[in-house]
Amino acid sequence: MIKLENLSKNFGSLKAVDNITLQIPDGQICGYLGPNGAGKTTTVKLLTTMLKPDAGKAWINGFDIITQSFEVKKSIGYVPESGKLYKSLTPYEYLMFTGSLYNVEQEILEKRINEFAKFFGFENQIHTRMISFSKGEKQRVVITSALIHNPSVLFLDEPLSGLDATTVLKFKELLRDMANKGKTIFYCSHILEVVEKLCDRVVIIDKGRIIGDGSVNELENMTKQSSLEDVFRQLTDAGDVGSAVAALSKSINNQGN
Amino acid sequence: MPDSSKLFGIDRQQFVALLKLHLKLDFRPRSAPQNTKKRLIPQALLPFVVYGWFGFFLALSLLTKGASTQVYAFFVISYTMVMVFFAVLHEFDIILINPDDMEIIGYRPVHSKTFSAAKLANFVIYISLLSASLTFLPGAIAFFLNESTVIYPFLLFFSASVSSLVTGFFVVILYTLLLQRISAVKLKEFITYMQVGFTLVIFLVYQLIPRIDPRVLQSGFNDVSLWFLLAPSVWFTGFTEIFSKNPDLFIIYASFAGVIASIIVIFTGGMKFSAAGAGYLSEKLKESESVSVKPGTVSQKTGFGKSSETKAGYFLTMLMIKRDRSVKAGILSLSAIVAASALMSYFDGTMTDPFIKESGTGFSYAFMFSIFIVFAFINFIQYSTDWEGAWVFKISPMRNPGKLYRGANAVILSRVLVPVYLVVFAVYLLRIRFFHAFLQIVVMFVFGVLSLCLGLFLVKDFPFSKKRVRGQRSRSLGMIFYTVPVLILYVVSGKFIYRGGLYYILSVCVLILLSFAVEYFAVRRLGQVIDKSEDF
Repeated sequence: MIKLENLSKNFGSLKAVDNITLQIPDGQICGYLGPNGAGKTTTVKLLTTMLKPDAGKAWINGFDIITQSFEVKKSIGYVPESGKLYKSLTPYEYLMFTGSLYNVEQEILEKRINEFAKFFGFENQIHTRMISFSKGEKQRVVITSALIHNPSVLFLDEPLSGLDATTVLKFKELLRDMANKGKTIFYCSHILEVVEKLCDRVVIIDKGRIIGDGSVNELENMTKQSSLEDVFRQLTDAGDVGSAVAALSKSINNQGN
Repeated sequence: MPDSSKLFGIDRQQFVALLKLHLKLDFRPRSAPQNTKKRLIPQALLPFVVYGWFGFFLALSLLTKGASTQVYAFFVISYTMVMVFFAVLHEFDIILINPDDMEIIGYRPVHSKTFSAAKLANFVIYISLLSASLTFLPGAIAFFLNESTVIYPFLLFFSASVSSLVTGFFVVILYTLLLQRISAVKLKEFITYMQVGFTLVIFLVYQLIPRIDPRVLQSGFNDVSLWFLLAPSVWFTGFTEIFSKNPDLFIIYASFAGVIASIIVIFTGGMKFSAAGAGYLSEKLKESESVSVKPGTVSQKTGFGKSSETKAGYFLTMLMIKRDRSVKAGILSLSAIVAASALMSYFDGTMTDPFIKESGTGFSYAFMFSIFIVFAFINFIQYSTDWEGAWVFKISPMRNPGKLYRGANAVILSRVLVPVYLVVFAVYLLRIRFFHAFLQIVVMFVFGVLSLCLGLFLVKDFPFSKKRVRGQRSRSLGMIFYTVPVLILYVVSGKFIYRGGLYYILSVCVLILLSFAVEYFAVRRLGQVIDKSEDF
């Protein structure tokens, strides 16, 4: 379970996360949407203990993110937006390393690495250094490293970045299965279609504040819109997208090369 | 999740995993996706071979001067301490703070004690290797000193190792304290200029040793004042004398100071290795990324070439020389060597007018280093802290990516080499008449251009496209070996150049034509090599 109470974080005069209160029960996939710079990644960084809040509190599985950060870290898995990993290592070395940080027993770790490699289709590259990997290939390893210790709470920040269609389908099914088994999933994304289909609940934030919270149907009813895209456009005040596109296109074409 | 066994709060399993990781990251080459074992040894050893080479020359020079064991130990330990100081200070952000660590490990359940212990162990291994490479050959040569005993070389090796560790940890304390008080941007600028200063000092010390009166080197510390104790290398020199038959009070003071300093510095430095500390410093170092600059500080206009590749190479190199600390530091330090060597040649009278018969050959350290720095520059500009941005070259519609280096060379020539040559020219004027000094500086310029073109044959990647790795700066010192063919050509062509008149003009013209030809083929070859590069 994830619980936030008046959580805030400022960067100078910028209120990146502004007084957010939220509770996500076990077994729920919660989509966390917002435009660029809305505060999505900052929220995740606060909940994964990488940043310290300026005000408010938050708990992961009942552990306080400030005073019990070590326990919090033990119970979460995180796929960061940056997708960084040590590219000089092979997937096997990297996953053995990250698994060791969670004190997963070597035998179990090896078994899980092989199972994930087979599931995500990188079993043939498991002993190849990741320096030559494509973004999608690296992302599969990043996702595996977030799941290898079987965490009860998952934070996913744009996890589908670079993945091919088959892997996306498999991963979405895996997430659904994990949620059915009681795991809590906090899913940050810009891709509205995925959030619409995958998430039980959608939280929309803008300028650090929650501006919408509910299931896709509830949000559509609340805003009297027919799709999550329209809901998002209305709530985040995206303006007249069509006119903006037309103006830019006209300008580019007039300038030539 | 099972709990692993712990010792002093350090998780054994995590410690092993972290240490293995750090060692792999240190010693594994970034290229060669598969079958890494074959390239593991050269990658790890090359910088240490370079350090060993310099240590060897220092020791040999002291041995031939008949230095006493005290003076020998003093110089070797001083050299070791300065080089370690230099290496750790300059590569601090690679050695101690890997910004990736926080993004990959920051949210995982690793206690700061475990993280610190692994970092500490990794640091000690790095310093030990560095120290061993610096002192192994001087230690071996120490057997041949007149006053040497069987135990002396081992004591020297031990003292130098301890002094290296103390120096390494001292840098950690210094850097961390400074970073807490001043902005990362200012600190990096400060370090850049400090590095230039250190390069000059090291170079001058190298030049001074052969010029010291042998009697001074043989006398030891007998007549020096107690103020000498303030030099940290004296403290560790004391260790090497402690088992001698009649250690004097001076030596005992020195060794005592060394022991106390070692304990304080290693303990305080060790405390700085915490995960939280690394995270804080990492964030501080990232500050430099968000600094805004005034627009239009570098003009895109250039008269060098008309191709868009050449212009792009020129523009990028100009920006990097101004903004990338690693590029700036490397280029300024190397330029300082040339200026220092010119001054040295002036003071010791080896700078002579090659156009006057029986006067000299024109060959000087300034000339030799001016060729070396050209090769080193070419090597430097392949690396950058912004290396990841180089993907843009790969997708740009370039007919010949090798032409990027034509622009880069234009920057090196106009913005770096010409100012350096002007300094050398000013020094030449102190001993050589104006016209001859001018002719000589033209020769130096032509050989600089030729070396720039030849240097392109050593390039394999786009400019600023490779990540700086530990020891890369030391490896660039190895570029000195590539100067040999150019210097041979200089000695041979000198037979014609310095005959004066028509011979001079013809020789210079031939060398310019040769440069054009070399550049043409180098750029063509570079275009093919870079096109084949898949390292993205």
